[in-house]
Amino acid sequence: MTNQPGPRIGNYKNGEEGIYLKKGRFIRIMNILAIAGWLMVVPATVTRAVPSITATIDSNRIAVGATAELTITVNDASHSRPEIPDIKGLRVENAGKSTQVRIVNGQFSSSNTYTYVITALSPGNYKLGPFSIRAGNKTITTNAITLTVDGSNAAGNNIPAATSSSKLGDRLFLEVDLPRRRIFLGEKIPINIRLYIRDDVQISDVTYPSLNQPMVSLEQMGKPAQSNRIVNGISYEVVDFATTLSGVKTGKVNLGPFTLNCNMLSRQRSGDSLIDEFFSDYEKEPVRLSSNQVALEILPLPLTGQPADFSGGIGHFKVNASGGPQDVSQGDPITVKLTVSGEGNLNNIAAPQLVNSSGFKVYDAQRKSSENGQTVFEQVLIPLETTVKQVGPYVLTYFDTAAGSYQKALTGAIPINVKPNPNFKSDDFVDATLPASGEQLGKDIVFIKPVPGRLQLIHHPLRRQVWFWLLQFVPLLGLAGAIVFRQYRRSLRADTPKARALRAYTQAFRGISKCRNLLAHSQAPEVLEQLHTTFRGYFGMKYNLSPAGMTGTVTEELAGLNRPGELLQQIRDFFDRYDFYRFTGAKLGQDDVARLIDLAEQIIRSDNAVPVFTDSKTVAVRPEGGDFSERR
Amino acid sequence: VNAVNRCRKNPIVIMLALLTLSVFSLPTMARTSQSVSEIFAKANHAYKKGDYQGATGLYQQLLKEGYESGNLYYNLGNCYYKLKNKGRAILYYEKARRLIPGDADLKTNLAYTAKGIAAQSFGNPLAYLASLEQLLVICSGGFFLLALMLIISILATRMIRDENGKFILWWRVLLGAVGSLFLIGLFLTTVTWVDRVQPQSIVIGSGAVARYEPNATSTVYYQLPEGIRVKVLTTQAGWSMVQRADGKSGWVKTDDLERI
Repeated sequence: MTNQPGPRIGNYKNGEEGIYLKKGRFIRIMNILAIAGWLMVVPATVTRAVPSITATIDSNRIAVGATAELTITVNDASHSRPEIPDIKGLRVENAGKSTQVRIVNGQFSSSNTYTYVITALSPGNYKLGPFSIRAGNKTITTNAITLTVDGSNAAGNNIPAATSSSKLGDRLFLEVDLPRRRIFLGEKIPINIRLYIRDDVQISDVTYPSLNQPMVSLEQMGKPAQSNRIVNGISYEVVDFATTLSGVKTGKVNLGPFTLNCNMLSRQRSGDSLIDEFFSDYEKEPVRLSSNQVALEILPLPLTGQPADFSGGIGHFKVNASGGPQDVSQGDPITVKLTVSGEGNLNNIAAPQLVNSSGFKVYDAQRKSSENGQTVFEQVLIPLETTVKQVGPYVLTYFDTAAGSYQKALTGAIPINVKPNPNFKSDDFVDATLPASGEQLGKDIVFIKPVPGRLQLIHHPLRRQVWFWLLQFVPLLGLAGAIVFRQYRRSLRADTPKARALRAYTQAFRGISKCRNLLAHSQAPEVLEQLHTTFRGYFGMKYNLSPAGMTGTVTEELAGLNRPGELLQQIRDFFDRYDFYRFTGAKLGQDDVARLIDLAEQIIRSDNAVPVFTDSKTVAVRPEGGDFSERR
Repeated sequence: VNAVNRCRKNPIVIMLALLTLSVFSLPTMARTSQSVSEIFAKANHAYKKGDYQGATGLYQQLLKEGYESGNLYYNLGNCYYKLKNKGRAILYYEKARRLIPGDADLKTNLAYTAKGIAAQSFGNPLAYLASLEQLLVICSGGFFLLALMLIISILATRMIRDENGKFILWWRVLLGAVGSLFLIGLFLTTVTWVDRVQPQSIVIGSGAVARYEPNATSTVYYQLPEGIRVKVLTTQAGWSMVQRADGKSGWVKTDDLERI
């Protein structure tokens, strides 16, 4: 739908908005409707011809490197594409497909033509075919074709592009244009790969030409240029891929073939231009084009006569020097800008050399840029003497490929005026590490190591050891433990009964341990006194009671602290037994004391195991060095 | 069972057991070390006689047995240099650089062998101050020391605090110094680790080229001189996408590369 003004056909309205159609478009739609109706009627009346297949070749005799066009035509059959098997000595490439449909006097016929380009790789007699296809339920077979390949075309000769591309080449071919056939190693020369497309050929999805040739290096191709040319009276559109080639190894090489992939657009035609306009469609056929080969010889640079100061430049160069300041004092730096321009390997060229460096401290030239066909270096010099009057000239030694010899490009000298500087000491600029004048130092790698050094297992580096990473948790655990312990210690400080209970328990066990030791060496009564002191000390300290004069009546006070009745009974029992031995004068044996010690230990353990409820707090005690008591 | 219980109760028994085990294992380690040294010495002898091929085989034998060291890689690099295999020479020098980055001889040989190969450096130069193993040990040691000092700070308050309960000056300085060293070590370890995990390779084949596509017929993007160092981005079906130090990427045959 459009509001564009134009011829109004009919009075079509759609609500408020009119529908306008251009006249041409209206007629086209009417045509489509008419053809559609006709096609529905006609198939009932037309008759189909018998399916057939033929194979032809444009030339039965070709030379090595040349190509021939094989055509397989399939008439009046719905079929599969013919498969061409690999033939040793020949290279077969698919060059596209075309379709024709005809209806003459109600007789319907169609044909599909498949084109293949056959490149001869080695001489001999070849039999092509017969080729078979499936047409419906039948298999139909072509005739066989003989092809003779002569070995007259020696490798290395330039194979003409028109020949190499055969008849397909007349329509679509690739051609290499190399201005010279002998180049020097590292020399850069332009190369053009041109794709010729005849006017009646349409292609799409064109790739950049590629070359599998390790002896040469190609720079990246830019956007190709397009133009029109007439070749042998035929008009072509030419796509020109331009780049630069340089040799990376010396020797002879057959440059090419460059290969390029594209899709050839072939229109299925019926013979009726009207039908073609509306119903025919483009079919994409992948095509791989190969260029001609070009013999190329990559020559080494001549070693004889190669100057010692050869810059590595190969081509033709000019050099220019400028810089300043020109009016300086001794010791002031002068920056010289050296511009190398010309054609050749500018990216790899070394800096021009100062012809006479006497009276200067010369620093190494630095490459600043390399673009737009020129490379710029900068060099800093410091005049050491007032007698120097100029900087330069500089010289660039390069290999001139046109002349085939080493050449020198010279700059002009830059005049300078050096004023004396009383504070300047030229000795500061003498490099002590430099060898004596004229001394030539050898260069090589440093000798091997006499010992293997610190050996380790390749597949067991420290970073893959689990134990190493687990070990890193130890400090963390230590830190966590320290923090917990500090908190515990703080809590003891803040909770006096708890701390007192802990101390009482620890001291009681020390006392009991002491009693057991004394029992082996001392008299039983003495041990009994010691045990009594320990026992009273424990309860006195833990429950904040006076240990002096503590007797079995202490259980009354303990009962108020929620001590179990059994425990209280044991305490009373201990004091009773103590009083019995203490006041009745009954004979006290070692076994009796040992039993009392056991009883005391049991009482203290039991007492410690049961928490004391004081002001709703629960006191839990852990002894030092003893067993853990139960905690809540 | 009794022996086990006795061990549990008495740590001295455990220590004695470990000591005995160590003493028994010492001759084995010594023998291995002796064997390695002998092979190394034989390889050195072959090198001195000019039998670089023989020396290479012996050094490679040590690698196959699972041993590596900076000196071993260095000597192997020398052998390949003498055999005019520049790519492998640089490869082994680079391997050595990861273990003995500060070695002056190694720096000299690597620079000399790689002369003329542009833009070799990748990543951070801080990654070559020490080997990763050394950094891990230093970093771990620093971590232990720092943790110990923190534990002391938490527990032993009287020794290191003044009357006001603040840490005394020298303790604060010491704690700060150890903490800073640990952080620096951690940073260097991280930088070095990141560098080591990057898949970097050396071009060992002469005439290697980087192409636009992973097939032999695609357009050559640039030449890769033997010995140049590249970063491997991806690998598929015998081709590796590599990146030069200047950032240009292309497909190279995997056979032309060897990982550092």
